Amino acid sequence: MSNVEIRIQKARAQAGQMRVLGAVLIPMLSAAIGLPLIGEIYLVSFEPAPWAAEVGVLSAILIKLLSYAPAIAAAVAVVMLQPVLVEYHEGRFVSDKASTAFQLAGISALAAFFLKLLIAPIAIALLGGASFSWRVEMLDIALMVFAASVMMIGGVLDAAVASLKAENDQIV
Amino acid sequence: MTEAALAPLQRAQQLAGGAATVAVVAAVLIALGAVAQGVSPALNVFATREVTPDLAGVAAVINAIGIFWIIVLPSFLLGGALLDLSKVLDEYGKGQFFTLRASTHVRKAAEGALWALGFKIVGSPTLLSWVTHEGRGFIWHMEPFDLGLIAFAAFVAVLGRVLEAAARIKEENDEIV
Repeated sequence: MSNVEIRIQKARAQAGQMRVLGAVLIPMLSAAIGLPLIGEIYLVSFEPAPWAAEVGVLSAILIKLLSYAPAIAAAVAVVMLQPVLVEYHEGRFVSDKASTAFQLAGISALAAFFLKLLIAPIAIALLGGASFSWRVEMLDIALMVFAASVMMIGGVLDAAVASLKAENDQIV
Repeated sequence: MTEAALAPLQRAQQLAGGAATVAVVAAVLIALGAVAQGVSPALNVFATREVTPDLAGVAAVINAIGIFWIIVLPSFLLGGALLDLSKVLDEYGKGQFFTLRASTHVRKAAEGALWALGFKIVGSPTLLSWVTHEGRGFIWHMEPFDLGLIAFAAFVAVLGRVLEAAARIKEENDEIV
């Protein structure tokens, strides 16, 4: 086996290991986010706190769902990265599917920040929950730029893959 | 290459170049914001302790510097991660997509974000409580959202690692050719 083939095998193995880890991590992540959410929805439905009783059951459930929406969007971003690992594990490092998934993961992460910083607090305030106050942390902004950059990387790789494909098609 | 295939690529390159600049600006702003955030608590040390020319005075100064660094470290780490990402985007802007440099910086950026999140969640609160003598235990400030972000950054780090391996293969192939 040549040096290049050994390296390809290594890279594929790394992606494969992460795929297995992801298969374990994603259900755990879902449980870590989903179980407390279910618990809180149960509490506001059947043993409502004074604030929940005041806004009504439906609004209280929506408020709880909205407060967990950023975490759900972040978990979706992780799930979106799975196809990248699948493609890399198959040895397709320059792949249309992988770069699109990269892009979608970045978009989901960015959506998570918008939900956390703006949409969820405003919607919660409109539903009668905690009043809206503009509280932006530097770290959140930095992580938002990080997510936007990941999305951008996916976008550029996508364009690069498309142009490589067009070039190859032209040669063929 | 056909013009139709080149146009989106050139647009993407231009966007990447622009985004690289935005990432650098964001990194600088975050560092400045962190310094502004850390100065006040550090100076507060001097409100409660006097800076005298003895061991107690030296301890007060070290305490103030320690508090400053504990507060600013997560933002500085994240600023570093953004600078790494700016290097990736800069490479892409130049049309160098599958290079070792770009892939290495993807991995480094994600690892930097992981360190920053680690410090934000457990490192900084714990150290701050130790330094300010409020407690000796470990303090966690973790929300479900943070958990999602950690997983996201960890995945990007591994993808960076795989891209790095793929870029090495490409470089070897190019050398052979």
